[in-house]
Amino acid sequence: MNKPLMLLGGMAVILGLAFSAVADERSQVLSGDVANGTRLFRVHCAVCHGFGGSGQGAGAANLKTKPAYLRDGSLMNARDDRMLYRAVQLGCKGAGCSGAMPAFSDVLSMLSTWDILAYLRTLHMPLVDFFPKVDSYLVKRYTIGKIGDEKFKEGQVERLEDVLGKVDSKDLSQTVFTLFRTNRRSLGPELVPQQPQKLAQLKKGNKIGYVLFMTLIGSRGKKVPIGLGLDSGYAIVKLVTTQTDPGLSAEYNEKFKRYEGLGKRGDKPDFKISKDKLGKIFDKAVTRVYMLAVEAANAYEFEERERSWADGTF
Amino acid sequence: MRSILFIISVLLLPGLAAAADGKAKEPKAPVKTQTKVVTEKPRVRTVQVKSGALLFNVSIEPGAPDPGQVIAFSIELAEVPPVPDPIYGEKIPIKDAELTARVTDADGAGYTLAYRVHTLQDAGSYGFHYTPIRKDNYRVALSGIHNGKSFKAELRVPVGIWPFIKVDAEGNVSRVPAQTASNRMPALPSGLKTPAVPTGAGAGRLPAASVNTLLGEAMQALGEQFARAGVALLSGRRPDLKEAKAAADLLRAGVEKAAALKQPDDEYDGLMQELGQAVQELVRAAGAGKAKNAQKAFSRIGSRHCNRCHFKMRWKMIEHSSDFPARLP
Repeated sequence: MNKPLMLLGGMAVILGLAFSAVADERSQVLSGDVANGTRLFRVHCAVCHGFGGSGQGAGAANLKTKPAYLRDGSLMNARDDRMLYRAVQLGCKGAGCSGAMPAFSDVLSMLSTWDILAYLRTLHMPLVDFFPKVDSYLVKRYTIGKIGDEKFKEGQVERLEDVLGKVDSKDLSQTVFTLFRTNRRSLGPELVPQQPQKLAQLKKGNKIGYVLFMTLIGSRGKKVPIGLGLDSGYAIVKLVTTQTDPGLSAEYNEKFKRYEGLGKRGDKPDFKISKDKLGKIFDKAVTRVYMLAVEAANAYEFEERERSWADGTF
Repeated sequence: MRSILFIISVLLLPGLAAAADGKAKEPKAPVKTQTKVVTEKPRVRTVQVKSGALLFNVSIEPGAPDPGQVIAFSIELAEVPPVPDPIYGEKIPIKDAELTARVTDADGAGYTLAYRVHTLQDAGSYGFHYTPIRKDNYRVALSGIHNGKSFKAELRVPVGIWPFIKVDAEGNVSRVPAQTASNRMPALPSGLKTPAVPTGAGAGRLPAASVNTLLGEAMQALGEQFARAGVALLSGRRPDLKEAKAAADLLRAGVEKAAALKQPDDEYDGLMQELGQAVQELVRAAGAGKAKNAQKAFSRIGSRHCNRCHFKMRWKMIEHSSDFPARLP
C-alpha cells in the first residue's frame, strides 16, 4: 500500500472516530439536572402523575381528565422539550392541551422546569435508543385502512387479514415516528412539525427508519408494552419491552433479540423461528405487531408520496 | 525533712517577694491554640474567565456548595471589543450562543456529564443546574458556538471544601484561590464599566418569587414531607412505615405552622383544619404499622385535600372548594 493511500485511510478512520464521538456526546447531553428534577417532580407533580410517572398519583382520583402516563414513549416522544416546557410553565390552559393541569410558572423557575424535563426524559424510551444517529423526526397517528384511495385501503386490510385474520379496530390506529438523519448540527433529535415547507426539507434518502410503541399480547394474554424499530427497508432493527420491571424486561428482551434483522419490504413475514409452544406464541405475537407496524408505516409513505409527487422528493 | 522544707521555701520565695513588692502578677496569657478563622460560606461566588475576546462571568450559587446540594450556574456571556461599543460599552452581551457544560471530577478520570446551558431572560444570560454527589474539586468546561466560531472556557467548582483560601494558625489569610484556570482574569477587571444589561448573575430568577413568602415556604415544606411520605409508602417493594411516620409527623407540624398563617380567604382555616385531621389519620396508621390504611390516608390527603385547596387557592381554577372536582376544566 502506498503512503498517500495509507494517510487517507488513517484520516478516514480518525474522522470516523471523531464523528462517532460527536454522535455519542450529542446523545448524552442532558437538558437539565436529573437529581434536582426528581426532587421537584416528587414535590410538585407526583401528587397527580404518580411517583414514577404512572399517571395514578394520589390526586388523580378526583380528576375528570386522568393525568398523562409519562412512561408512554408514544406520548412523550411526540412532544419535544419546548412543548413539555410550555405545558409545565403555562399549564394545559396556556399550552392548549386538554386536562386540568395548572401552570407552574409561579413556583418553578426556567432552570427548575428544565430539570423536571430532564427527569421526565428518563422515564420513557427515547428514539435515540433505536437509531442513535437520528437528528430529525416526524410523528403522526395513522389508522390502517382509512387513508389513501380505495385500492390502497383495501390492499392494507387484505394484507393484514391474510396473515392475522380479523384485527381489532383499536389496533389499527398506530403512532408512527419517522426518523431522519439530515446531518443537522444539534444537541438532540428535533421534532419536525407537520408543515408543508418543513416537510419538504426532508428527503427520502435521509430517512433511516420508523419507530412504533405498541402492545404485544404475550402468553396467557399478558399485555407487554414494546418499542419496535424498523429500518427503511422494514427490517427489524430493535425490538424491546418498555416495561419497568428490570427482571421481566431482561427476560423479554432476551426473547425479542432473536427477531432483530428479520422482515423485509414487500415480503410476507415469516417469523416461525421457535420450536417450543411458548416460543410459537411469541412468534405469532411479534408477527402481529410487525404487520401492524409495517402497514402503519405504509400509510405514512402513501401520504408522503401524495404530498410530494410534484417535487419528486419521495 | 530538711531538704523538703528547703524545696518548699525555694518554690514559695518568688511569690512572697512579689507580694512584698505589692505587684500582683497578672495571670499568664493562655497559650495560642491552633484555631482556624473560618468565614461564613458565601451565598454566591463569581468567577470570571476569558476566552479570546469573550468574557464569561459565572455566578455559582451557593458559593461553597456541599454534596447533594443543587448548584445554580448563571453565566453572563459577553464580548469585549478592542474599542468600546457606542451602545453596549465595553461588554457586548452575546445573545444567541449554543452553550454546553461538561462537568467532571478533579482529575478528569470520572465520567463526564454534559448539560445543555439554557438561555435565561436577560440578554447574554445563560444557566444550568448541577447536583454533585460527592466532595471533589469539579471542573466545569463550557463550550459553545457563536457566529460559526467555537469557544471554550473552564473553571473549577470545589464541593464540600471550605474555606477555599489558606488560613494559617495566626488567622492570617494567604490569598490562594481554590479555583485556578490558566486564562483566568482578575476577579474585578479594571476599567470595565457596569454591563449594559441588568446583571448580578445569581440575581437570575432561579428560586421563584412566590416561594419566598411565609405561606410559600410553609407549603414548600409540606410538599417536601408529602413527597417523602409518598416515596416511603409507594415507591419501594414494601412500604417503609417508619420513614412514613417520620415524614407524617413533620407533615403534621408543617400543617400546624401553615394553619397559623392567617389568610384573607374565609375557606383557608377550614381547609387547613380538614387537612390536619387527614394527616393525623396518616400518622396514626403509619404509627400502628397498618400499611394499607397508611396508603389510603396518604391518597386521601392528595386527592381530597392538597388538590382541592391548590385548585382554589393557588391556581384559582375554581371559585369555591366545593366546586372541586366537578367544575375543573
